[in-house]
Amino acid sequence: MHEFLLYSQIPVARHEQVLHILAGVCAAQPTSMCQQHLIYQQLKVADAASKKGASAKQQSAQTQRPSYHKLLRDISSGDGEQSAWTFRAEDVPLPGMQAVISRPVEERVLDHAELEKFREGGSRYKYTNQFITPMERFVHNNVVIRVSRVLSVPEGTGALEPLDAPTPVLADCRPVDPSGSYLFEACVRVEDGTNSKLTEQAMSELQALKNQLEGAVDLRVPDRLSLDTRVKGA
Amino acid sequence: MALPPEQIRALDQLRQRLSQLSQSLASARADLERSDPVPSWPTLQRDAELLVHNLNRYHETMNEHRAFLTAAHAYPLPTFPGPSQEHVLAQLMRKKLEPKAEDWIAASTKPKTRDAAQLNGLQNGDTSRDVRLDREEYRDLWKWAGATSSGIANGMMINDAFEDNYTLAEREAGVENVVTGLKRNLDDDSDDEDEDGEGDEKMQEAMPSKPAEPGVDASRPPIALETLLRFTSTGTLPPQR
Repeated sequence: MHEFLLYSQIPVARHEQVLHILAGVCAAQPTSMCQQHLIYQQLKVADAASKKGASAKQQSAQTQRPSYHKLLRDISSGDGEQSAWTFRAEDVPLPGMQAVISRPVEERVLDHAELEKFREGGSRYKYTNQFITPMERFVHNNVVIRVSRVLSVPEGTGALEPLDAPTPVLADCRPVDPSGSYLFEACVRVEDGTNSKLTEQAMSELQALKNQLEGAVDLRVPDRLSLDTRVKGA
Repeated sequence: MALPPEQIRALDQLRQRLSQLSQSLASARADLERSDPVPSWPTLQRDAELLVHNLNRYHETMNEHRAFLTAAHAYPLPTFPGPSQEHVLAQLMRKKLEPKAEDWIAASTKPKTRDAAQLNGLQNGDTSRDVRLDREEYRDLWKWAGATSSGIANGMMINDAFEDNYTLAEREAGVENVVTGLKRNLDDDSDDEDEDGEGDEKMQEAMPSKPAEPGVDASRPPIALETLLRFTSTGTLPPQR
């Protein structure tokens, strides 16, 4: 899978307004969600055999450095049952893309056996950190827009096995950005990143949204390397 | 002396229309005069419709041959039996309308003078009569009406009648009896004065600012987007925390 992204930041004071604008643009009210993300550091690079298809090739083509991978799940249902953990590996965004962030992404729901690799004592992964993102999600054509706030969990939350630990209480979480600003993420996902017809359409839709929101939300391309998921100094 | 055939046809057509019209008028009149009791509404209506229809057709025919008819002049031939048909001849040769018809037209089109209007219309209470005002009277009327109505409106403005939650009539009848469907008290005349003073406070009470979220200080500058993304990518918290 391939993702095309544009980002922006919304100050607290403008959050409501931007939601209203987006509701107008998308002709629909947002879906409120809340996701919990666990960040794991790869201890050793997986052998190509265990990886699947295209992403494996891309990964092996790159330098064989360990990366950060994520497990995420939806916790918006509150204290009811939690959804299954989804594995998510984001590649370093492709260089040379001026208009959008473009990166291959692997995402799949994990079963119990695979989940074991992430537990403490595993040789593959080491738990690094986690964050929680309450968000409003809009869909406009093929663009998924997420207006979220990144919350860091209280210190020591990950001390226990984070996979089994109860969901951190939202009230105890603090925004990573002390000003409380919101992260605006516009994303188009394409199954086949090599299909130029699809990728062109994805980019043009993103660009159209950027033009439409001009003046209300200034979408931009962040520094590519800020989305670098490779482990430094490994 | 022969007229072109289409002109003869035009005259013939006109004659036909007129005879139809006169027939229907005559029959309607006869109906009204003779039948006892008076014919029912539908019958009258039908007669009237027929009349209007015939009038219309006559009108159409007149319009159709307007050019010819306005240019046409009647003049008697030597063979016309003048002495025996003098009446018909006089009617045909007449250029003006009959005095009776002229009076009738004048009465129904000319604007009435004030005296006549008062005598005929107002005093008799006969509203079907045409009570028209001449230009000067209209000017006077509007002069008076404009000033008077704006005076009334000004008075209402000064009394804040437009701002009021109730109409003047409701005020006079007593506000307690007005059914507004609302439970809260609209009538806050009593605290009009202090409202001005406390206005700002009240506003703040009515619209409380969002409760401060823990850990949020909106006055601080936001951290760079890149820093935030770096955290979501690698879990590395920004150094300034």
